Amino acid sequence: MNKNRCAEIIYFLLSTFIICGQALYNGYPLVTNDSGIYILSSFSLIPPIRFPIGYGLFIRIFSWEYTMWMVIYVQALIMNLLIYKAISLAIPTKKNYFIHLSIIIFLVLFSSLGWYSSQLMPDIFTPGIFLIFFILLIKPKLSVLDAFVYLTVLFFFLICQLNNLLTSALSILTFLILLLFRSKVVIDRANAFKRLLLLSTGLICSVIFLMIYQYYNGNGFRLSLEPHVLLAVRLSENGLLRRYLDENSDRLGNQIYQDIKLMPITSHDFFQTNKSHNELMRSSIGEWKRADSLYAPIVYGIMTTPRYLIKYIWENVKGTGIQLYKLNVGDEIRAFRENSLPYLAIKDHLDNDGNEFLHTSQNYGKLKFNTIDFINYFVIGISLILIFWSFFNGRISKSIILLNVICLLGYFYNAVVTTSLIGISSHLQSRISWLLVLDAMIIMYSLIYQTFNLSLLKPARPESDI
Amino acid sequence: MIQGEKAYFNIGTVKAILYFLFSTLIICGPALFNGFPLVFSDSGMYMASSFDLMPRVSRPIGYSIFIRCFSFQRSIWPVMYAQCLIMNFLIFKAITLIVQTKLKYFVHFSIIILLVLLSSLGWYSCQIMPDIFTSGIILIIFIFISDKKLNILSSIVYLFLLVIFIISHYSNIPLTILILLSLFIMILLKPDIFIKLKTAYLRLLFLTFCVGISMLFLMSFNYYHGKGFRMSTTSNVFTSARFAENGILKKYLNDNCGKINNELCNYKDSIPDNVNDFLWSDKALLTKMGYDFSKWESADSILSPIIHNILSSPKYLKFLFWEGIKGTLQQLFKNDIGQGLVAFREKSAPYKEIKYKFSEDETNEFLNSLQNRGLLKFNNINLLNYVVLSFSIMIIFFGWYYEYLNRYAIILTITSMLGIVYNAAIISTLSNIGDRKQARLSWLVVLLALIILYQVVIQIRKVISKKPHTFQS
Repeated sequence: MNKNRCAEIIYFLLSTFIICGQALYNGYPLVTNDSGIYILSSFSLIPPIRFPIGYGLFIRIFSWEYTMWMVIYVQALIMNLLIYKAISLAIPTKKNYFIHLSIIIFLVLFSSLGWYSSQLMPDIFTPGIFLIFFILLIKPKLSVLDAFVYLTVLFFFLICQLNNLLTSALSILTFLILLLFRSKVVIDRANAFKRLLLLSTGLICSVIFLMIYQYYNGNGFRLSLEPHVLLAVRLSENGLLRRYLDENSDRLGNQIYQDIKLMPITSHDFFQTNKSHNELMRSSIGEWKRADSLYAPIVYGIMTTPRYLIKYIWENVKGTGIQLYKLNVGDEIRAFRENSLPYLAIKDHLDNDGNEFLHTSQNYGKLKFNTIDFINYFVIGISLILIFWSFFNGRISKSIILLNVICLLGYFYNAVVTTSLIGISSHLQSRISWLLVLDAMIIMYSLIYQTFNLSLLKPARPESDI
Repeated sequence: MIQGEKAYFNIGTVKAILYFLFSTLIICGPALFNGFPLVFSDSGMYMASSFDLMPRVSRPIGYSIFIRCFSFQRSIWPVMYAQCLIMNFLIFKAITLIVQTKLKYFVHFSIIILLVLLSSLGWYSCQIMPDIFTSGIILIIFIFISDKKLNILSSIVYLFLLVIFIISHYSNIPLTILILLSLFIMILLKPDIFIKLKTAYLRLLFLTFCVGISMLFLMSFNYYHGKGFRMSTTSNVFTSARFAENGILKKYLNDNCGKINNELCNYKDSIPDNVNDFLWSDKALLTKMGYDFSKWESADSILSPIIHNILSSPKYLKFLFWEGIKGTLQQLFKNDIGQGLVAFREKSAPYKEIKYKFSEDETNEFLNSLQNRGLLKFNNINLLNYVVLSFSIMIIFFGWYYEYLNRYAIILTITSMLGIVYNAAIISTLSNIGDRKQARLSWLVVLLALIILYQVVIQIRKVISKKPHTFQS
């Protein structure tokens, strides 16, 4: 291994600590209530209720059943490498390391990146998917090894959350349409089609893997155990479920009607509090299966009746608008003490981490997010201005324009999908918001380099290719 | 070098429409962030009267008509979106009149993002309240007297909007009259600001005509509903409350209760020292006198001679004048954004209106909103707002002093400053001093500062490149 290669590796290993900054500051990786479920599934390797197995596998591989620190370090390292690759493809300069370092420091300080990469949650992988999209669509030459590595990473990202599958499918479809009607977006159209095919392969593999995994565990050849329950919660939240039940109570069993009418009005209440009507159902797969079959005809009725469907679409349009603005960084990061699911999961399986877990800033309730959120909103606003301006600036390279499109699409589709399927939540949107800040930083550096005539190595693509 | 041949985002008509529809979502930001349009305690009354279209005590009908038009009696979201869209367009028009650049969409886009982040714009345009229309009046007056290329259709649209804005809140009537009067005087004293004197006079006449139409409409509306041919049925109640707060009422009653026979004289020793205890609280003086909210029209006739006597007596007028100056200055510094944006739960008027009149489906959304869970905090926002306002005033002064303001920027500056000062004067004299009614206009100062900043950038680029200021080389 030559000296430069060695220095590069050391650089990435060390700079990853910056991205882990929030976990180091906290004293332990950040957790949410769902982290406990993922940790448990990493030991049992049984697909957890509501979530696919992907992140459980990821934890299993990198925790060595010993510590959670390695898990967040590896996820931060992956994100670090992807960010570096995106930067070097968008701004081809010799000063890549300086730009990269300054950008990750800025992102960790002023955006949601650090807070999500330091969380024992698969949310950080959602923006990773869009970075892979960008890299694969813009990279001029892709070796077999490169393709394999990116596909493997994409595969892991996709099997970590079901909504990632839909978001990716929508993005691939959009790019396909974009390539057909506006080929100027990419530099090499034929190559872009091939890359989209590659991405689609990754997506299909992920879907098949998840279905086989469910089948193997005796849950049938399907993606999710309880799709109707999840959708019913969303329908309950926007009032549509109650309306349907009120108007169709005569056709439905009275007991079902009474039970479901008691459903909480927010998904948070439904899944995470003691008020949960489905508290019992949380405990066993059998109960969830029963619940799913209970909700299935209701969800089907709503989705196939134009009157309700129109209302559902309207609610989702509104919801998407609301979701686009839900950017509180610390959503769901609260104190988890001795009786909490994350603590019990860690204590039971990772004896070393138990004490450390309890003595963190998070679990003493010392993490406050008011000022951080305030800065985050402000930085995203300024980032949007820069991104918008780059569309007007004739000197911005096509690679950056493509990055703009991917980041904005990712941000928008994430809002659409999470709103339609899960519910409105800051946690689900701010996980991806730092992509906009990254994009704006890249634009800014690109402009600085042009304005001051600093040497760029070469254009993103030769103009002849364009 | 990274280069591209041309900009990727050329805006045509369809794209321009799409641009406005989508960029309006930025102004809707606080409502989307909140999870529901923001509501104030009076929002319930406006919503209620949008169904029966009957005149309400102390509120003109204009905003209720607006709600009726855009809510389709189903949802309150389109109302908020429509008012944001109107304000978005007015801001765009004002910017393009002043900042002469090819990048007008970018300038507008960046300005609205900054306004939403740094000023009160978003918080008022997302409220189901007519307060945002007061700043709309100022922008319309500016656009109407400055736009050289105004055609008949756009003139009609502007004048129509002006009428809707004026009839939405009683304070908008004297405000518009005072601004127009001042502009008439300004034309006489400093005619060189306006391009064509004759056109300027004519347009001011049209605007004045709109004020007349608005007043006539309100009076006819009240007359039609048996309330007499007058604009407000309870104006004396509010003025009395303000006079109680500044002490004139007590002074008047002490001086005159022996000479006049008025019911209020029986309570002259228990006149409260604030508007709330006079009008709104559970133990309000009017309630003690037997005039609860539904009987304010009767109270108005009791209080009317007192107000008339105070306003026509030089002795009290002098006192009133002094209190007015003090109150105006106090009001000018009241710019807290979140006043009145408290949690409204199941027993509140806004909730009841949404549940029983609009759409029951939206009640979950209403109750789950940050505002109605008491999670909206304004400390940081207000701190930032005051800092930004201070800097904005410095920038405006800088722009004025170093002559960075073109003719249009000067007219907008004058119109906005007049509007802000007159608004403070009217509110502090006739109503109660409070942040809500001043912060509704304060974002205009930030808008002006941002426009001036862009002017400065353009001038600097012009000097550097020695080419016409087009932003693009």
